[in-house]
Amino acid sequence: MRRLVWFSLLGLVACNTAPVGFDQLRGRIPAAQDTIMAPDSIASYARYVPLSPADRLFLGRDSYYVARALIRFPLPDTLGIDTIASVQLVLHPVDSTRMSFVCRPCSTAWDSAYATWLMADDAIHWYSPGGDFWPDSIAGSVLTGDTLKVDLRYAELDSTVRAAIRQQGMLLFPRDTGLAAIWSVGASASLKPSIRVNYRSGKNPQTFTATVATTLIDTLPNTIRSGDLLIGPGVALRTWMRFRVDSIPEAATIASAELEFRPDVEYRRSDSLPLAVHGLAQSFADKGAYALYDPLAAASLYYVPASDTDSIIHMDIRGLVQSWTSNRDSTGRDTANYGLLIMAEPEWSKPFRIRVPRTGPGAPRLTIEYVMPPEDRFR
Amino acid sequence: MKKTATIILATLAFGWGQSFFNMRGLGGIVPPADARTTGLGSPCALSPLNPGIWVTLNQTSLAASGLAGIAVGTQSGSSRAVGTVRPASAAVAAPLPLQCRALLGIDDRFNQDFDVWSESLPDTAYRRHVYSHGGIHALRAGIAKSLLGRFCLGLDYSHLLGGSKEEWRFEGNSGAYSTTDTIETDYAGNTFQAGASFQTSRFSIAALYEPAMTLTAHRLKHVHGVVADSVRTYRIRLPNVMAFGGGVEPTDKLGLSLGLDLRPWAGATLDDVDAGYRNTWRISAGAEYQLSPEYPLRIGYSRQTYYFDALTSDPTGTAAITEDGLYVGTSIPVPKFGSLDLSGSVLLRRADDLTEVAGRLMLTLSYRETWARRTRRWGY
Repeated sequence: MRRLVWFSLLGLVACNTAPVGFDQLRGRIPAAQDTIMAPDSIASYARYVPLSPADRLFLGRDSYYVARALIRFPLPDTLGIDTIASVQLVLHPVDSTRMSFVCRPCSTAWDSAYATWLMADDAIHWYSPGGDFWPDSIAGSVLTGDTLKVDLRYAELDSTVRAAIRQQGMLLFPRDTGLAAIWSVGASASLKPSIRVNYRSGKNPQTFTATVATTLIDTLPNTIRSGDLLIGPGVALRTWMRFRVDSIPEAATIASAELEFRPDVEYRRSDSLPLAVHGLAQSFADKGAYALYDPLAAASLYYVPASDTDSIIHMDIRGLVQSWTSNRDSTGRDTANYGLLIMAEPEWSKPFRIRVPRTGPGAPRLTIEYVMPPEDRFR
Repeated sequence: MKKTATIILATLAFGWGQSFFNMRGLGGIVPPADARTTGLGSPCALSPLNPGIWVTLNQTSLAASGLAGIAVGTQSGSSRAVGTVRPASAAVAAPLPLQCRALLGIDDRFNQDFDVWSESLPDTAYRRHVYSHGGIHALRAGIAKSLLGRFCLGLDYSHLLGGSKEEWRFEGNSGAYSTTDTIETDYAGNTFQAGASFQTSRFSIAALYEPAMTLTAHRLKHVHGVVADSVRTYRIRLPNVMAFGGGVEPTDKLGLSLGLDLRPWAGATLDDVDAGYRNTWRISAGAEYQLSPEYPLRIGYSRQTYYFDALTSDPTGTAAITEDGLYVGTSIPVPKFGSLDLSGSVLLRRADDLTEVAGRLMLTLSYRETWARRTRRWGY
C-alpha cells in the first residue's frame, strides 16, 4: 500500500505539465507555423521493372494484366538421354488458385536482373514482347495443390531445343483467367521450382533446382487512361509530384510533414497494399520515368482499403521535407527538391492499382509544421 | 521500500530540473554545499568555500555532499513540482607542516537545471517542452596558513568548468513530439579566492574575496534536421564577490552566526555589453545549540536577491527575484569515521506572479578522525 502511494505521488508530479515558469523563456521562443500546400507539379508514368527479386512468380491473365513465368534450371548437357525414364517439372503453388498453363522453351538468352516484358537484358529487347520461345509445348498442366509435378518432354526433343532449355530456360504461359502464384527461387529450398530426372537403369533420380526466375508481366493498354495518376506494382505505376517549399526558412526544423490523399482503389489482388514514398534524386522534367530516386523510402505503409472507400492515406515524410528545406543554393532555391514518387513497394508484390485524384478534397496535399531555432540563453 | 526509493530518486535525478528560476543569466547561484553551513543559513564566508577558514586542522578532512530537492512552482493558479537529486560537492583539507593546509575541492557555482512546459497556444495545439541539465562547477586547489592559532589566511585557485544541455521539444497538431533543437553550452574560466579568518573560542570573523573573472561560454546549437549547426562563443565578465561572516558563542551550548554576501554584478558584461544584471546581496543568520555533546541542532534563516530579473506577465516587464530560506540541521556522529551532517531547508522564491517553494535535503558525509575531540569552529 505504501509503495502504491509513493508511485501515485510520483505519477501525479510527473504527469503535471502545467505551464508554470514558461514565460521566463520569453524572447527565446521561436516562431512555429503550419502550412498546407498542394503539389506544384504532378505526373504519373508506367515502367516495366525487373521482378526477379520476388519470392514468387505470377502466372495468369485478366482484364488488367497478363503474366508469364520465366525459369532457368542448371541442367547439365551431359545427361544420358538414352538412360532417362522421365523428366518432371516440379512447382509449388502459393495459393489455391487454379490455373492451367503450358510450358515452352525460351529461345533467347536473358538476364534475370533486367528481364521484363519488353527486355531480355539491359540492352536487348525480346523479338516479341513477353519473351521469345520455341512454339512447341513441352509440358502442360493445371496449377493446384501444394506441389505440382508435370511430365516434361525433354528426352524426346531435338538436341537444339534441349540446349535451349538448358541455356535459356522455359516460359510458362497461362491459359485461364485469373492470377496464380508459384514460389520462385527466392523461396525456401524445398519450395523452389525444380526439375527431377528419373532414370531407367535404377540410377538414383537427380533434382535440379531453378537458379534464376522472373515474372514477365504486362498491363493491357486500355486500362491506363491518359492523365490518370496511378500507383501499382508489376508494371510499375508511379505518381510523381513536387511541392514548392521555398517559403519555409532554411533554418527551420520540420516538426511534421504529412502527405495525404484519398485513393481510389481500381484493382487489387490482396487486402493490404504496400506503398512507399521515395525522394527523387534527379530532375523529373529532364529524366522523366528514368529519373533516379533514393532507394531508401522516406515513408512506407500498408494501405488497407476501407469498406466505406473514404479512407485517407497519411504518410509522414518529415525527413524528406527537411532535406528539401535544408539544402538551398545562394538564391534560396531548394536544390534537393526534385519531388517525390509514390509507388508500390515492393513492386513485385501482388498486383493492385490505385488512382490518385488530381483535384477535389481527396487530392494530394502536404501539411507541414515547422519551428524556427530558439534564441540563445545569452542575448 | 528501498527499491521504490531508488526508482523515485533515479527518476527525479534524470527526469526533472531544479528550479523555475534557473532559465536566465548563468542560472541560479548555488550556495555553499555543506550541510553544516547550510544548517546555519549558508553563510559563504564561514563555509569550507573560504580557504581562510582553516585555523585549526589536525587531521585530514574529507567531505562529500549530496542534495535532494523538490520545488513547487505556482503561477496564475497553476502549480507544478520539479525535483532533483545530485551530488553537490566534495572537498579535502589536509594539514601540512608549518601550520599550512592544502585544500582541494569541487562544488557547484551555478545551476541551470529546469524543466518547463508551455501552454497550448490559442489557435493551435502547439505545445513546447523545454528542459535543461547542467551548470557551472569549480575545481578548487588552494593553500592556507594558520597564524598564532587564531588567524588563517588562504588562497584558492578555481578552474570553472561545466556545461548545460537544453532540449527544445515541440508537440505538433497531431500530438506527436519531436526534439527540434538542442543547445549545448560549455563554460570555462579561472579565478582566485582569498579568504581570512580570526577565531577564538568565543568569537570568530571571516571574510572572502573573489576578484572579477571572465567566463567563456561556447555554444553549439544543433537544429535537428538542418545540416549546419550554429556555433558561437560568449565572453562573460563577472565582477567580484565579497562575503563576510561572524560568530559568537555566548554559552558553551549556544553559538550564533551572521553572514553577508555581496555581488556587485550590475557591471557584468556580455561580450563587453552590459549584461543587465543587478547588484545582489544575501544575508543569513544562524544558531547552533548543543542538544547533547554529540548532537547539535542548527537553525538558520537567509534572504537574498537574484542577480537577474524574472520576466513578468507584462510583455516588457521584469521583476526582481527574492528568496527567503529557513534551515534546520544536525550532525550524527559516525564512530571511527566522522559524522553525517544533515540539513533541511525550505526556500520561498518570488517574482511577480511566479512563486516557488523549494524543499531541500542535504547530506554531508565527513571523514574526521577527530570528531570526538571537536571544538566548535564556525561553518565546518
